[in-house]
Amino acid sequence: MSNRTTVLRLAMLAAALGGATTALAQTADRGCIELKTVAEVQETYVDARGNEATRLVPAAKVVPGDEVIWTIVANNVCTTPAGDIAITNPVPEHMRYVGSSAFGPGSQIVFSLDGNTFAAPDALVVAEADGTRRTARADEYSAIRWVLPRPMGPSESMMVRYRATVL
Amino acid sequence: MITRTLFRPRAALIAVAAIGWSLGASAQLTPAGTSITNRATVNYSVGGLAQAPIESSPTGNTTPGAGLGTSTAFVVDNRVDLTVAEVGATATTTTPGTVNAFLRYTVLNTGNSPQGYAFTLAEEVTGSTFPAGNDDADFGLGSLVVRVDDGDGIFNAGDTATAIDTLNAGQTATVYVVSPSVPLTLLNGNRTNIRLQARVARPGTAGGTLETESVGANNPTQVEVVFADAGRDATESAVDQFVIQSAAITVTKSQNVLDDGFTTVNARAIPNALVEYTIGVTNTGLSPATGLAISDPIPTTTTFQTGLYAGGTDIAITGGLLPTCVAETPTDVNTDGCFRNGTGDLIVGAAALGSIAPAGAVTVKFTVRIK
Repeated sequence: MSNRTTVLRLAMLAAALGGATTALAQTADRGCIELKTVAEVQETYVDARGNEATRLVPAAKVVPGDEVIWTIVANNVCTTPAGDIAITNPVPEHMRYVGSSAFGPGSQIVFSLDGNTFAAPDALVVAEADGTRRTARADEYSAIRWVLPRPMGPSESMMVRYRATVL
Repeated sequence: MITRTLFRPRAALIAVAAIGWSLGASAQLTPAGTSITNRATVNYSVGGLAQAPIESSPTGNTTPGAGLGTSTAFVVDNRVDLTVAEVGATATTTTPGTVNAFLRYTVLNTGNSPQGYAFTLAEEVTGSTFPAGNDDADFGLGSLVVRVDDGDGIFNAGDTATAIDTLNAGQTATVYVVSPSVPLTLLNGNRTNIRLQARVARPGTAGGTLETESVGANNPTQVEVVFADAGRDATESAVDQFVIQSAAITVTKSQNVLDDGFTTVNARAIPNALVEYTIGVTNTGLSPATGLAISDPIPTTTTFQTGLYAGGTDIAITGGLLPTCVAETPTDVNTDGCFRNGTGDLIVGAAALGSIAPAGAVTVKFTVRIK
């Protein structure tokens, strides 16, 4: 089991046990961001003019080797601007991030190998068994973070996206 | 601010081609039925104050707090794939009359779920020259049977299954195509090409229920069946070859008039002349010829001569087991393999001839007098 999964489970456990009262208090609150994650796959079809085209359909039929497109949408549901926005998503277990596939209009994208420390691809270094160091490969990323350098106004939304392959 | 950004399919297609994600034989595929879950988190601040992080849900979540989002999930479906291979890349040599001659194949489950396999056989009469030479022999396709190895890797009596009941993902099974009795009519060098075709079946049905691809609407929480093999028909096959390696016997017979009563030089075949017959037996095949017996009806116009060869024997043999033998009548009293039966046929059997190795030859000489 990967470290990030352990961390996530521990967090969930804490929420379920000791944090029950806090959780209820938070439930009563409504945050200012509505966050949605959607899993889709690209499908080729023939359009009305007989041309081959592609479209995204919900990820229902997925087998190893297939690419899934993860889309995360954040909406500011408050009447005040939201700042310092950072969306973080661990690459799911049984999946491998597809290099250069992350995008997010206007945001800076950083990656993590351990799920805690995020940096630009060039700054992610892996130490080999023989002591040599190299830049991490995209398939080694365990998490992705999109940082929006400016506030998001009321009713504004942003979408980020990446692709990952089912192992 | 961009509120809706269309995904760029062209860029995506190029990326797909560049990645070229391939499934190696040793790849550990995510098992069918595995639920892949994903939950994003957003951190933000309002009025310069950091707010409690909010986790995502499939439909949109606004409730802050760790563990209060809902994972977006789908179930990994059943990727049906298989590899059928012939083992050894060489033909299997056998000889006519062999019991349980067999070809060896393997079936590899390259999918991500346990599967069964049903088999059918076809003779590849044309189109395959594996590994060398066209199919020119009739083994009797209907007599061939499929047997699945019981795990010891050796074809034996324990291999009784005719289909694979269950083969786990990434596992290989050995399958034999067996000729219970190689036809005696086949000749040295004959070849027959047998195609073993495996069709994916539901696990646990002993190959009885073929797997079918899911149709209709896809469900993210159900395991659907996707045929991912070449041709997407859940069917793969391989060809192997039986080649007959047997003795091929050539028989020649010549005569030489030894003495016509007047001369031994250019003697004539006249009454009372002595004529020596030479029978040559050559094995041009690739296996030793055993159990040989020469039968020669002595012409009724001649009389078989006894005692003319070394030590007063009746027949001279070169390249055989015995150098000479005696042709008693009517049975082989001294069991040297030679006798003349009740109808006057001369028999020279295996006790005298022995076996003839490939490219070996035996010569038998006897003499008659023309009446």
